[in-house]
Amino acid sequence: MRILVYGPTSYIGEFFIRECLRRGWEVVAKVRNPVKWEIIGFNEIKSKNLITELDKIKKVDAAINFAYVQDSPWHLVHRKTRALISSYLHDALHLSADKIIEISSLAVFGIPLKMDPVPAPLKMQYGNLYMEQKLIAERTLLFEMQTKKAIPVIIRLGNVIGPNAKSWTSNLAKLIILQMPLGNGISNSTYINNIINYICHIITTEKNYLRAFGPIHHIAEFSDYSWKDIVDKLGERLDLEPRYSEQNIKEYMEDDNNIVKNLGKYLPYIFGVLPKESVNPLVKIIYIIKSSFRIKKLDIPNISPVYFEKKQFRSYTLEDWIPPFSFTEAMDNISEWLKKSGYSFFE
Amino acid sequence: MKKYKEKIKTLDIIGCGAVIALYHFPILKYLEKNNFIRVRYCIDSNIDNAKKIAIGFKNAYPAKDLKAEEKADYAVLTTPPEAHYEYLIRVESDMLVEKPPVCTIEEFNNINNLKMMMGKSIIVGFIRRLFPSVRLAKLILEKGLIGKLKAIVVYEGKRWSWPSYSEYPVRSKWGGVIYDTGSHALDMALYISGVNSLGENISFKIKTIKKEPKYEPAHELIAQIILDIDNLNELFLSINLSRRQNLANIIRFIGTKGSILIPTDFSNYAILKINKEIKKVYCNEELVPRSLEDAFKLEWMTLLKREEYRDYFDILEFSNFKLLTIILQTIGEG
Repeated sequence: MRILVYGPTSYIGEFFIRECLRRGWEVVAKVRNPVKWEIIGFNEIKSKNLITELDKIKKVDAAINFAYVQDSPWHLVHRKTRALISSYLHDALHLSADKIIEISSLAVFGIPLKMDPVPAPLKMQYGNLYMEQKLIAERTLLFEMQTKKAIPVIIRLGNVIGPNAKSWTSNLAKLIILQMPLGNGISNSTYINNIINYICHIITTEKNYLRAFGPIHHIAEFSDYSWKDIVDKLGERLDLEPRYSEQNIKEYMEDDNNIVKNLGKYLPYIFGVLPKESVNPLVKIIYIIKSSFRIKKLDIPNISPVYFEKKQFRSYTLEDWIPPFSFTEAMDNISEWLKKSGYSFFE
Repeated sequence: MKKYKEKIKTLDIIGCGAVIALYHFPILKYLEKNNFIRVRYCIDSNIDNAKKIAIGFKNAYPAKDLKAEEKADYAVLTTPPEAHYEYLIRVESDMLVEKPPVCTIEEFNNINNLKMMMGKSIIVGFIRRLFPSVRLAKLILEKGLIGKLKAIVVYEGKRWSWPSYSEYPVRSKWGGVIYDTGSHALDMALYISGVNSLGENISFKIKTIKKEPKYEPAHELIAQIILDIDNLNELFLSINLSRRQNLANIIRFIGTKGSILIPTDFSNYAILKINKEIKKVYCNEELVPRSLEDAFKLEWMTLLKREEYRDYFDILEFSNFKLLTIILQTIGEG
């Protein structure tokens, strides 16, 4: 099996590559950040199965994209996302990939979830650059693949937990040891090793079966567990009593809810001073005005509203796949990593 | 009678990489707007980087190297560490130099002597010394609330995402994690515990050291150091650094009666544990920075208004960093 990987230095990309190499698969990695590639230690892997020169390869079995635009001025993000996805699709199709996979996120439904998370294509929404990027990627993939033989696969991930996972594991554990109050919302979580297993399962699944399932998959096998279930478990291991806070968030905005600031930010974009994007100016203006008058309900600084989530993002995966790791196994593995990484409180 | 107008002081920026762009640039813009300084040259061996920074100031010019003309009043040095020594010798202005200030103890001694001979001021960008949490932890230790300090445990690590303009983090001998965020964390430990001000009365030995990769620049490092104070007391220091793992980013100070924990990021509190009781203590002093940006502003005002900010000047002054330089060099060579 030979896989083209975009975003190999991302958190999930790294796990995926190591699993591919463990299985004896060949990985063709598109390296955009050679410094990070080297820091992660991929250059130390002396395996003929890890290839970085795309031009030496004629064919791959599947392609997968973990990459998205980071460290870019906000007004260039849409354009850069389109360029990234076009480049990915170009390489995947040029190398005749049978399955073209895009790793997306539950963030496409808003943060926190603003609509019922159904496994279907979505309309473009605005308000959060990460969400906008993921939507552009999903929509471009589905549109471009309409006339192609390869199968498009979009995997929307829940909140990723696992050793070294930044937002929902290390940041979470840090909040516990720093005595910050957390919420008891639905976790909508998914465990990194289950994600990797599911991606590998898709790659090895028969094409017609995959096509019949449809292009959109949701993975959040631990979405039945609340944040309290996770935090209590970790708190037990870190020898600490977590603190909780009741918050009722109706709506939440990540950006400042200041109309002047928002209009100032978007007007040059709308009137074409800055690079064009395919946004109806009226839609954007309405969004800005609407969002500027929303009231931010969350009072605790530095705590994500995701900890107070009320909507559930359920798994929608191939029927013949069973997550290999249980919740307890995941928690054991995470706790072990947390202890090793200094997250225990006072020894 | 003509009103006397004070001449605006000039500043040269040496090294126009990500550190300047992300951290110093907004403050320098503020200082320029308020007539504290006028940026004269933006100097970088990569002229495109210099141009990118120079364009942001009113009358700044990009340059590849220092110009042989009248010295600027101030300079900020943010090149990779191995280039610091050369510029610290060549530039006669008062300077803010990014951490670590020099790479070896020989360089440290030479610059310290030169600085005294020339009467120039050098402050080092160990900005975390200005964080309220650091001030608070130092105060708690000085008051003896946790008894006698026995051990310090440092965990500092984030998965690499720094938009470095050059490849020095993977090419330079001084590009490893110990010289990067590690030097900040180590300095916090030495400064808060007060051992860095003990001069000749302190010695140390490295008990164990593990690096990944085994040579510099290493991206993961675990070291255990024994600090010997006056040949009497031993203080155990454990350092865990990584550019691959999201470590806890905290420092724990363990004493005979209790412990303190502070985050290594900007914060205004410490977690105190005495007799199984855990308390979150906040720094309520009025004159401490309220944000990271504030801390950078304070750092700059310390350079520009040395007399007014004497206390802070004494905290950031070059000669404070001798012990740190020796430990960094020993770990780097270990």
